[in-house]
Amino acid sequence: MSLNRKRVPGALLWAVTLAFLVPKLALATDPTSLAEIIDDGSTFRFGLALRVAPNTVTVTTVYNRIAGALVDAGASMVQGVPVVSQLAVQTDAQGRFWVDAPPRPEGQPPLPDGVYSRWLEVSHVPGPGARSRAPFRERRTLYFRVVNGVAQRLTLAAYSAQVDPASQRKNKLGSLEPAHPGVLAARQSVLQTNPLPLVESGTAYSTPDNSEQGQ
Amino acid sequence: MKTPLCLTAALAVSLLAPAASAATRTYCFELLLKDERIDCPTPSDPGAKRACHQEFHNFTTQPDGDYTHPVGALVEIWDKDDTSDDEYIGTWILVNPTGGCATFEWEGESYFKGETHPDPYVVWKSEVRGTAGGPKVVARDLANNRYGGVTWRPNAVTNCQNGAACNQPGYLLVTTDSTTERGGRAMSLDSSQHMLQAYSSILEAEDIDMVWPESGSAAFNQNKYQVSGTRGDQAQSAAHELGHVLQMQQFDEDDLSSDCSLNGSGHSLELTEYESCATAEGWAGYVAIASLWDPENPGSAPSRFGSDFVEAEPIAPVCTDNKGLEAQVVKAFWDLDDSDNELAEAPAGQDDQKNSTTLDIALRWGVFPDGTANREDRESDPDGVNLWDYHINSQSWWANLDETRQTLLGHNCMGTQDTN
Ligand SMILES: [Zn+2]
Repeated sequence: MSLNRKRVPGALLWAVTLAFLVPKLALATDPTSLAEIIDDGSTFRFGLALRVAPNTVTVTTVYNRIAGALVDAGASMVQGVPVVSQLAVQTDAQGRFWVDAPPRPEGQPPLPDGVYSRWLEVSHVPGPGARSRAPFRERRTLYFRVVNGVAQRLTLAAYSAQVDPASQRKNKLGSLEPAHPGVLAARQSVLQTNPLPLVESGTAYSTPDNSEQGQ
Repeated sequence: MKTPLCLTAALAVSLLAPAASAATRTYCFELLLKDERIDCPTPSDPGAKRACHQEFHNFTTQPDGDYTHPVGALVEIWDKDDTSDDEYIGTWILVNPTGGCATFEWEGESYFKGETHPDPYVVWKSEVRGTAGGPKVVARDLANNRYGGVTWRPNAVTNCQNGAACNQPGYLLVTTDSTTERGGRAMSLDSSQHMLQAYSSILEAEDIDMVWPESGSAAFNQNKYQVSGTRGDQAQSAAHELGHVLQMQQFDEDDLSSDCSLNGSGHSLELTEYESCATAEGWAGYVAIASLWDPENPGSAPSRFGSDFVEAEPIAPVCTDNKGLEAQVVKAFWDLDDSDNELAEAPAGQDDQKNSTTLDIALRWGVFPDGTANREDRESDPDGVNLWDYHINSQSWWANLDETRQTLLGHNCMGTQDTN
């Protein structure tokens, strides 16, 4: 312990020195969008950092899961909840853009209890004469839970743990790893039977300890 | 003396061998994942290398929507045993955008264990590879642990016999909700596979880790990148980070000397940055679109965040204003690669003439010497590693240097970059 305590300041100093010596090695990241959606993670109000004209964007919300049940593509209403809604882009006193995406618009009955996921989508269509522009969509997924009619935001992790919990299975080395149960859907077309290449034979791994658990 | 020994050996082998003669089993199945990606070509878009949103399915008991076959995914096949341990039979790679069949020996293999017929089932691994080979991309969680898979153990096909069709009934759906962790992981892996499919033959053999779901998409070193938890549905995000990984591998460096601080932190396709940033980021953006669209198809029309990457007209009306634009670098590399050779458009003065190959273009980074001086791979100047360095370092390789220079630099106003 005393050795560690003595070493920490030196390590810190070294790290600070390195930070000055190597100033330009920022992470290679992904570009920002021309229509960033700013999410505080707790409310249903979203900022929009627009670098395109506000009159070239429309904002829509689309439910993917309503009260625990996944929504079919193309559905318009599930459990009395409209799947798709348009949102109005608003401007605050500082000229910043934002949208309100309440779980249920004012004056409507509360949402049924359960877990929800919903896309907030900004669609941009370039105006006439725009230079080298293509349409695009920017999207953010918001997750929430409704209990006794009251909606509360969820994180991706909390949403996933609720609707898609993982169990465990023993892998080929005999150690436990997380596993999700797969889903089976009824076949609609003929199964194609092209041969698949073998990547690894299980012969070398097959030991008496290979058992599955948690199924 | 020799003959009796041989006879004895033959007799011993025949006595030890199992009663049934060795035979193969063929097990056929079909996997699909829910696909809600937004910046990827669909089947109706010309030039899609392998389209997202491959098929619409109208299921009776599962959500309707667009699904895609996870080409390049690795799957394990196991033998389900109710009274003893399950056996691992092997790993196969899905090579077709349809179903497929795994054939394996049964009797006499170590996983046979005397069972008359196997009861096979599929485990989808969180790993993808180019169908012809190359490194795997392995999904890891925020604690850097490998993700497990998706198992259809309860749906095992019972008693798969030799000579009979062991067809897995129905479709095996890897995911039905694209918004869960699993849903984003499956899409990000599939987006990564597009890049591996295009570049696997020039990537290092070592596996590449994809950390998911992170706070932002970024590349760390020659074997590790991360995908933002908000960009699992952006095919170009994972493929872009792999573009950085590829460049680092070509440089044999675990970082890039790319300075994106000119316009605050971060970078955007059409905001002016230092040339090192525009070049490194434009390169990664080009790798993403070359992974998803076929440059040899003149109908290919890649774009991202509103930037049209095939428009011949330079983005900024003044030529020199294009030199720090990431999107213009994307276009410059695409022009070098694509078969659609356009005439010059003002303010650029030269035509797009070159139709090179995707791999040849990538390999040119490999000629950069290590170091921080001019023309070296970690050139320290913020306008350091740019398209002049790329062009001059590789000029002896090009069959027609004028075509290359005019396409990459003149046609895209990139000749206005710093010649050092
Ligand atoms: Zn990048």
